[in-house]
Amino acid sequence: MTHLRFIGRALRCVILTLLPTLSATAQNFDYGQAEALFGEPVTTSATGTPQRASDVAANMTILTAEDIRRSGARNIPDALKMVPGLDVLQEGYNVYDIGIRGYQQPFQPRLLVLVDGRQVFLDDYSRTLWDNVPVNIADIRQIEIVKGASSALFGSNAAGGVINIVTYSPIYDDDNSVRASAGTQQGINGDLTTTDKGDWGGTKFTIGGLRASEFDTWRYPLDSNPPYDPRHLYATNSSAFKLAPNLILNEELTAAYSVGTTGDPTDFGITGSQVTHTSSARIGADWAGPLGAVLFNAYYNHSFADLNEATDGGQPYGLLTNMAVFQLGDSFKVGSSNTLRFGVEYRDKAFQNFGVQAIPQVSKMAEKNYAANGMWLWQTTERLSTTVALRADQQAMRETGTLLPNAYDTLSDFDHTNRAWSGNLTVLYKLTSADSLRFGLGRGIQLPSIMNNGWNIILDYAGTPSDFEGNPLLKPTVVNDANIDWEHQLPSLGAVARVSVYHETNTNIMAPFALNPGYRMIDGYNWPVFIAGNVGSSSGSGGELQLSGRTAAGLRWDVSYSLAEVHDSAGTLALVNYQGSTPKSEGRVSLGKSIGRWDLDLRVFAVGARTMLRSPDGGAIEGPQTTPGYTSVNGQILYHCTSKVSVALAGSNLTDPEQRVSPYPALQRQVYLTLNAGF
Amino acid sequence: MDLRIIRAVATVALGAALAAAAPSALADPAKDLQVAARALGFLETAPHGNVVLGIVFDPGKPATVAERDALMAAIGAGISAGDMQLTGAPIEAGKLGSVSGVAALYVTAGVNYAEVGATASSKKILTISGDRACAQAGQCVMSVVTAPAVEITVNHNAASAVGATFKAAFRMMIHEI
Repeated sequence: MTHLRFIGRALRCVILTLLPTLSATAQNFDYGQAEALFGEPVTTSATGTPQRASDVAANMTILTAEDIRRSGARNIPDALKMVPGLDVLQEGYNVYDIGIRGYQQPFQPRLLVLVDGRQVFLDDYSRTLWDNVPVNIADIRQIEIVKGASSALFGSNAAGGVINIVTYSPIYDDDNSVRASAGTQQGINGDLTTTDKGDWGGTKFTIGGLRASEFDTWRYPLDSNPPYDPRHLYATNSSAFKLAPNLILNEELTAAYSVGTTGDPTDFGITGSQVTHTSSARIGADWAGPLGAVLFNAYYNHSFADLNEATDGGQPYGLLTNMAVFQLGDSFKVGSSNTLRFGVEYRDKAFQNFGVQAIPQVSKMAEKNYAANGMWLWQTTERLSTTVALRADQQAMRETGTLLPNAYDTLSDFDHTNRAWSGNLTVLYKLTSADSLRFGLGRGIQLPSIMNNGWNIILDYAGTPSDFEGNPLLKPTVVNDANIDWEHQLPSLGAVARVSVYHETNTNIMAPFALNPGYRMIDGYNWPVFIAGNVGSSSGSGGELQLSGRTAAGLRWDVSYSLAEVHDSAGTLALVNYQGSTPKSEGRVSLGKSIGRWDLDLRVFAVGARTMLRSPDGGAIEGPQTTPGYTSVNGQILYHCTSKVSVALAGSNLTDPEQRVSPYPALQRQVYLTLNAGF
Repeated sequence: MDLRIIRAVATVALGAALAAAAPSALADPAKDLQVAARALGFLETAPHGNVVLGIVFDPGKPATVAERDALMAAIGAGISAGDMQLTGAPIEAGKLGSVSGVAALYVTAGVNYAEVGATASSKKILTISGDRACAQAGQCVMSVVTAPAVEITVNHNAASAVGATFKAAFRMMIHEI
């Protein structure tokens, strides 16, 4: 009886503590109001609760709408080039891959990319096709860049980092804008966003398109030649409905189409032309009540990528991926110093490849992923906070199609389950009102891609009939890292200094077609078999140094330097080559000044040499190809015709008509004129 | 461009800046008022339109008079913050008992916090100060410091005493005691 009374008292105490609970999440939060109050960006993505940028439990850089506008960028990767620690690799006019703290590779699998919390990272090869991200760059409120393992905070595949794109809210913001641009490479593009809002909520429509000619620079014999000309077209609608003062219902529909010439690490690093269709539908609810901030999010992502590569004899093949995601989470504050979040997630993925096979078979990969996560933010003292996050993932896969008899893996081999956990521990200590120190430990998870798990195709590959198979027994790549960040305010200079150092280890790195277990007799022929494999490990160390500010005379300035030293084991070096793929050193300088109606901005990047695996002559063996370092000069001159209308002349690689930035085809100078108008 | 040069320039620039510039709290009454007013916008029942902010000072303490003068000068004929048009009204601490028509009180640093806090609490008026000690002592509902970075502290008990409830999102981004 005594025990029952004690339990009753304890429960009552807990309930009473939770009742005045606090809540707010992305959909139920006015970023603009908070940003105006604190004079710095605010985020809800790291812990699921609002935090000032300076309080975030992760190494997060936030690019604001103003930063993006001044950059002159017409797309997201171009805007990210100014962020120290990011390596933006451009392989074609509209094709990019972004490496975080080294670990660059085409089809970048270690970087999770989200738009307003929805994954736009594609699960086929585990990659992001930036041209299919259905966002008007002028409709972006902020881009949040997290460097370091963050799976426990953001989800699996945030093994090396996260880019979370936050667009303007249909209920709190009023984005009505149009943008049209024309320039070199016969490039034209335009975007339109319009918002309608009222007491009921708000809805926002965005459409955009681009067409241009691919860079006319020298290509390897097996590169897609002539390449498809770049195109994209997208449309989105997102709405938020205020059903009750503390209950908001959200919906989002998107469709995007792109054409580009992309580097394919699975095909000798050649460039192949690709046409990709993506679409998504999302519904969610955000309820702030006595249980805290309860967030429900359900979405369906569809992608179909049609690739045309010379190595496949000019026969295109397609990758179809469908994914349904269900997320339920609850964030609440206990007392004045503890914030907790709990969540569960279910993902259902289906994958199928299409195309001409030497011997037809119909392989269909299916996955069911389950995850549970928890986060505890403890404001230990006014100056000290500790955040602990844990996540458990289970990836259960099976092959539901048909495979040929005597294939290396049988259908039953694909009944396999991966289990992995990830975590983050961050201690933030504000030494003074001008100094903060952040110590972080992270363990991130990169689950095997659907392609690496379940790719099964038999074809006449580069003149050699071969059996290419996935590997259901692949182990997830695990990234462990340690970070120390120091931020120092310099009010007398109107500046802030940031210094970060890190060390990370990577185990179970994956590569397609890594293993060659010999020949198999299939359908009367002896075929060589290639399957994906865990090829080795890698470690990386480095840091970023950044000093930025604004002088009393209004000169905006930013100087940064980043260092990334990567050491691969022999298998990783031979088949992936992270060690050489990212320049060890990158330096950035930007200067800007507003004079009357004019905004003048200059950006200069100095990037070191890089070595990547490519087939130099179309042969069957990849080899490391080195490109020397380079300097790129970029700038924008913008004139404000009225408070809502401006004209900008911007350019990239201004000092060289052609600039080779990697072993992929060289880039050309780009200059374009853009008209921006609000209404 | 030689990366070694960039590396050296960046290191020297950072080092020089860090060595030369010790952080200093530069008082900016206009910014203090802007932040204080915007913080009021996060009340569950936030004031809007024309709002009068009482500036509490002690005529016997020159520092509080100087702060009053600086705040009133910053307000001038009125300032805009969020959806508020803020005007100021100087109020002597000793005459606080008869005050009316103010949405909140800005307590200058150095007045008798206990006396002001008790009177404001009895009249259910929210109090703000630029001195964190006032909120820490429970005599002010909120303290606002804006240099070198914005730091807001809310005293939960003092807020309850005047019936002030801040929005959930706001409470997650400030320091509560």
